Amino acid sequence: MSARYSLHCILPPHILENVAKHGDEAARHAAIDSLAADHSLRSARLANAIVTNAQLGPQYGNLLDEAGRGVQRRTIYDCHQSEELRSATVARSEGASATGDVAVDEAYAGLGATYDFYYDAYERDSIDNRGLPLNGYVHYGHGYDNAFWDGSEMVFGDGDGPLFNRFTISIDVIGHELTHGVTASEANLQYFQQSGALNEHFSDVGGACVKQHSLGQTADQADWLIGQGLLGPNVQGRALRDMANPGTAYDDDVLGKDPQPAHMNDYVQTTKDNGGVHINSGIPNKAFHTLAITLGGHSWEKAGVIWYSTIRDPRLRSNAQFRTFARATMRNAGQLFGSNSAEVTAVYDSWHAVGVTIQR
Amino acid sequence: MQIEFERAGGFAGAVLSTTLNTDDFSSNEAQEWEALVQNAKLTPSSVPNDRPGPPDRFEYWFRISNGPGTEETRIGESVLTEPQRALVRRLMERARQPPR
Repeated sequence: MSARYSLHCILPPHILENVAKHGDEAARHAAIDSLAADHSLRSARLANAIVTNAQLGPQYGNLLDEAGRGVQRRTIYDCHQSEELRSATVARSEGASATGDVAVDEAYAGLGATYDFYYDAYERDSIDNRGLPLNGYVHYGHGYDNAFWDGSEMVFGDGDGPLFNRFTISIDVIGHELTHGVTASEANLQYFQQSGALNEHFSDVGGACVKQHSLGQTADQADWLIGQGLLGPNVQGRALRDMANPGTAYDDDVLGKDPQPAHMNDYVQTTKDNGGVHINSGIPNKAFHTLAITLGGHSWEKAGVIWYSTIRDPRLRSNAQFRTFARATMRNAGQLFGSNSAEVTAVYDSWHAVGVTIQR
Repeated sequence: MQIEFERAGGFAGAVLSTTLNTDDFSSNEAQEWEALVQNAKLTPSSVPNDRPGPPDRFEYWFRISNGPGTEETRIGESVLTEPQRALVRRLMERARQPPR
């Protein structure tokens, strides 16, 4: 009879995950039990994945990992100006050549660039890390001024013309939307107030990194603009958001002025926009930009990997506030680079610079 | 009847708004606006203010003042009825115009 280990409430889930994968048999079972006893969705998912791998054995696990990973499965649908996705028709499927319809081809390329970014940078196999086929719907609605991830696919409007161009025009818009899918399958940050602003923020980080990765840019070479090219000819502005200078992207008669704050002193309390999720995201956006510039090189290799592992951290709750998220980035930076590393100091300084105060 | 309207959220997160008073219109146009509002059947606070919504969807806000009565409604894009869409379309035509 094997000894029973009691690991409850002592070890955080990521360590349990390690024990479950690499411990001796008794320790593995205890770790899996502990993960299952935590009724959060994240732990259930984690435990399921480990049990599946454990049952199959490592020799199959490797095969499972290799087969089909890193393979894109894109389909672009044409909505023909309808808002009914069911009536859309296939415009371009994986491997097909360009159609000449610029929205179709931009969506195809943008989904591909986003997939490539997540796979190359983090070995993430699509949105759900299980090879989810990527579907994009273009020409949605009449002059529709928006793009969104509806929980399982991407939808793009053509824009009204004078205010907004087509929403496939900026690769970072596509990266932003697909990153909502990544967040939904990881920390699942609630789309409301600070946790919602963090959800928006992580999508802007994803969008910026997808663009920088596709252009091979380092942090100091990047423009840090979100939605560059999206604003129509009548609008005074250079983009929708500026991660380097929140609050300065546009100032226009119709759209008003970019409302993003760059510091906690200017945090906007509002009931609109799910509690200002597109507004207060300026604060963590600026922190990320500062960190990426400080650490240098490609944004996704240091700042990005800290953020990505934070969003996957089972200890990060879906109602995380700026400070709890900031603390989680410190913890993850410590695990990745060492707790006395320059990276940890830079993370601390970047949050401090935007008024998100945490303990070292 | 006074109609105050805002579109917030969306990927852009920029607010577009317009306000109109049907007293400023011809009686035909005023009746048309009032009919659009009646048909939309805006019930006060269709969507609570304190629940997470779906990412990057639009959020519409209306305040209709009719004599002494004022009703506010907030509706998410994904649950608009067809008559509500018709009202939003007309209001958005105005909201996109530069201020005079």
